[in-house]
Amino acid sequence: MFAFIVGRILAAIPVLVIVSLLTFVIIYFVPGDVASELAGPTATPDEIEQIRDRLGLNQPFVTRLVSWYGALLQGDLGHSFLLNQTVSHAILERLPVTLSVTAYALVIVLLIGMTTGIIAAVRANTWVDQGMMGIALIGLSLPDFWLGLVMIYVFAVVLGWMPTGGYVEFSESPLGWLRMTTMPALSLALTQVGLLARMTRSGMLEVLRQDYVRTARAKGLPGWMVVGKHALANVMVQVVTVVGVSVGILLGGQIVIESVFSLPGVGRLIVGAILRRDYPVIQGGLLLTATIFVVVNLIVDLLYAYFDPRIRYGR
Amino acid sequence: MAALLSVSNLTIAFGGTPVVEDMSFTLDPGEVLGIVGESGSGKSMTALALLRLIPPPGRVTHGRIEFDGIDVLAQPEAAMQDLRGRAMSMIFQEPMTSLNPVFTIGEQIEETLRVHERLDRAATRRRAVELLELVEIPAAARRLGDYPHQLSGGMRQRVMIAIALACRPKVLIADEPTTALDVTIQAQILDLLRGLRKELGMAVILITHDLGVVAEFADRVMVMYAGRVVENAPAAALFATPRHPYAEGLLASIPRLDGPIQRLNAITGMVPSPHAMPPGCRFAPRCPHARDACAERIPATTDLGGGRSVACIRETGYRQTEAVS
Amino acid sequence: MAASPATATAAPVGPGALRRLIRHRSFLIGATLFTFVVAMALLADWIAPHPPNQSNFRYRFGEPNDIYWLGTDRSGRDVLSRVIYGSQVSLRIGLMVVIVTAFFGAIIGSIAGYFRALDDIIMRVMDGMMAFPGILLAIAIAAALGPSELNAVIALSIAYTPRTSRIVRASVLVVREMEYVEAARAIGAGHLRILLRHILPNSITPLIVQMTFIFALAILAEAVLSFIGVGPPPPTPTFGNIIADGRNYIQEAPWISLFPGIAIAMCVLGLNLLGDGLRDALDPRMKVER
Repeated sequence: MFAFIVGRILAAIPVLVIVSLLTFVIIYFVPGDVASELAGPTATPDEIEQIRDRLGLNQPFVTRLVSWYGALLQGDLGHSFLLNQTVSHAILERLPVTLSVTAYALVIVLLIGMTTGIIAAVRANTWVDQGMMGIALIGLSLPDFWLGLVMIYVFAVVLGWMPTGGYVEFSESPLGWLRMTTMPALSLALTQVGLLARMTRSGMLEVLRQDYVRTARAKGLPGWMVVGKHALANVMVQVVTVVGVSVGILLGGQIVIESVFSLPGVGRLIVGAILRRDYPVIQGGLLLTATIFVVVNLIVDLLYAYFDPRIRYGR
Repeated sequence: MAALLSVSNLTIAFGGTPVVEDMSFTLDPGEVLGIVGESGSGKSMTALALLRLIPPPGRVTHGRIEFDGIDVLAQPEAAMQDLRGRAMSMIFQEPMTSLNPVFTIGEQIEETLRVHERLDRAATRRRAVELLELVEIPAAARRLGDYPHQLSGGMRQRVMIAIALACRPKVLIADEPTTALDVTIQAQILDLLRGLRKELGMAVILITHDLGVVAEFADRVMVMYAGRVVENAPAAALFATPRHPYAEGLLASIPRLDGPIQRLNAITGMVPSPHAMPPGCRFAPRCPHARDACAERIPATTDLGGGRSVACIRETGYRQTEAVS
Repeated sequence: MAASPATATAAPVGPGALRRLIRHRSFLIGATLFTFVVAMALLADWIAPHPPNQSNFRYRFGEPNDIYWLGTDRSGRDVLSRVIYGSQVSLRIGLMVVIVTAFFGAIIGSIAGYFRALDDIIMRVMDGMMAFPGILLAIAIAAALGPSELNAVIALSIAYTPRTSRIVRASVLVVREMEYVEAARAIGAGHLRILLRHILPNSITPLIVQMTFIFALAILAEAVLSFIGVGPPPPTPTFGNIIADGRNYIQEAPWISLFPGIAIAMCVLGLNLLGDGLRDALDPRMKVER
């Protein structure tokens, strides 16, 4: 088990290296002159040159790459062009919002997605199954940010049950937090609920055909134990791999959803930075999101081993 | 002596297609019944029907199963769950896939005990160790924490047997228990089953396509062909003088070590598909004794006395059947 | 008896597949939905009641009525016409992305799958790219390149090429072990010939299925890019731009954002159903790869 964990962690390192390299390269190749944009239309060539010097934009590629990695290794993501903050500070301040909403959405995805998938599989080819899978497919075809707007219209504007946006910290008021995050989390979750329901259903159908399920029935276990224990434990192995992908999509979706619901998270920070060409913040946000994703996938790998002893014991 | 299990006129169908038809037999307490036939003859479906575990869309369309005074087909599902694994257990052909890969074998034995018997945790564990010892797994206590993939095929089948015997069933149904195993392991598992039957006194239904296995173990043999019982006889009688041409053919196709070296007599042709059954006697197209009359109607089962019955037109006479029709 | 390795690969595209497709209910529903949107895009010049960018300042935020079936936006532009013309842009972007990702995916995937020496490096890079949530990578690239239709295509293609590459690589890995490939090698066929003539045609089925799903993803992602302002710049009508136009007026004029979203859903649902149908018809054994 220990060797497995170490192996997984080591395998994540080259991915992180490539992630950071890509982040650097994307911004390096930005066309147009960042310095003149920053300086504004009234700046003199001298002023622009000064800015260029200060930001190190005159350095050759390799020098800039080296200093980017040098700073990165010290945890320094640079200084925002526009906010009066370091990038790491700006991100860390907003990270709890993004992470908590993502986690909330993930809980919704797991609860509803798996329950739906299991019920559909147990009732396979009945109208229950067909109805659920139809809804799941429609769900995963809806754009999440649009769904957010529709929910704002229905639940905030027409019904007045929910606020149209904003944020309250969980530590301040858990109920207020729920009020503010339920719609964003739901609209983020819906596409993934559809995906997971479909996956769980097909996984469950496959597992229910297995010999060990027949054994479990032949042992006289009640139906809920056959499905909820023997079958589910094997479906989990498949579900866990999907969850890794889902978290990535939830994190990506968050970028837009935070703007729709005015949540002060990393996603809105990145969108703001994109619109105002605040490259260090874009870079930092990208790098951080990808790193979270890599870490999540690492956790998924470990969970995978937890759910499947054949992997845990190295087969 | 009252029969432990009695099956009468059982018909199992998938959609509109019967895979087992009009089957009747009884099983006495402690008796070993061998059910023999080629794959597709309906042996396994019969076994699953006894536990009411036929996979949908298959179902019993006709007949009656009575076990230990209970009408099995009329029981509510909860009563069946109580019966399965406690009074009537089953082991399967594929030990490699019949155990759940994500639970320890200890858990898989103990949960059977937990659902059927009220024992405390320590007693359950003790019983699990005893059961592993019963099926002759060495270092039983240490094995409880193993996962199935850590065990060999033979070991896994032993674990399956331990699970099946956990609650001392009155009947053990063994569906091709040795088919997937190496020859040497096959012999070990059969020895084990034989020993356990003597020790625990349960009845056994042994399903196999291998007459050799039956010869060593069964008190009585039921031969199935294309979903129907063609002969049911005490083992010794069947092996001495098979009456149905199919049983005859099966026996002739066993290589003999004691006779002169000769060509092995295989039965020519193939088992018909359930969708395309021949008219009349289903074995007729492959039968060396077949005549026109065989294709006219399904031959009646004739009781020959001495616990023996055969479904072949020869027992009643070709002409008599012709006259009847 | 050992299973023949031939059973492990996809069935070739043949008349049987076509028959299965025509009988596949979800394929038919999907085809209908998607054809509807495609027809809307192709016939835009004839069916759109108004020019997409024609303002009518006397009728701003107009509710749906018999002149403006789906209402008007804040400059009094007809939402229906904008959705119709928007489908042109959105479908064009989706189609381009599909073509580009399929092309590069086929090249990268077959090189990685065929030349094992390069496999590790290529797949490491692909893993690195896939470590970004696809939409995030696309947003970053589109933001770096600047808002335009071409740049949206480039950004989305870069984001989704790792997916097609992986799919092609996986099937090339299976196909390259087939007897007929060994036979071709034995008679002295060159690498390029083996790849183009023998391996790629037999690895194409999963790619075709994946292409429909990428089409769907690209349409969703294009909407996101436009919505946050890094897609084709306004006033170009795209689904995302129209939704963005309406987002600040969701209270007064919900129809502006509502209808383009429904159009996206029709496209994506149609493509997803098409993809499911194709997958079932071309290769019943194929797992859900999304």
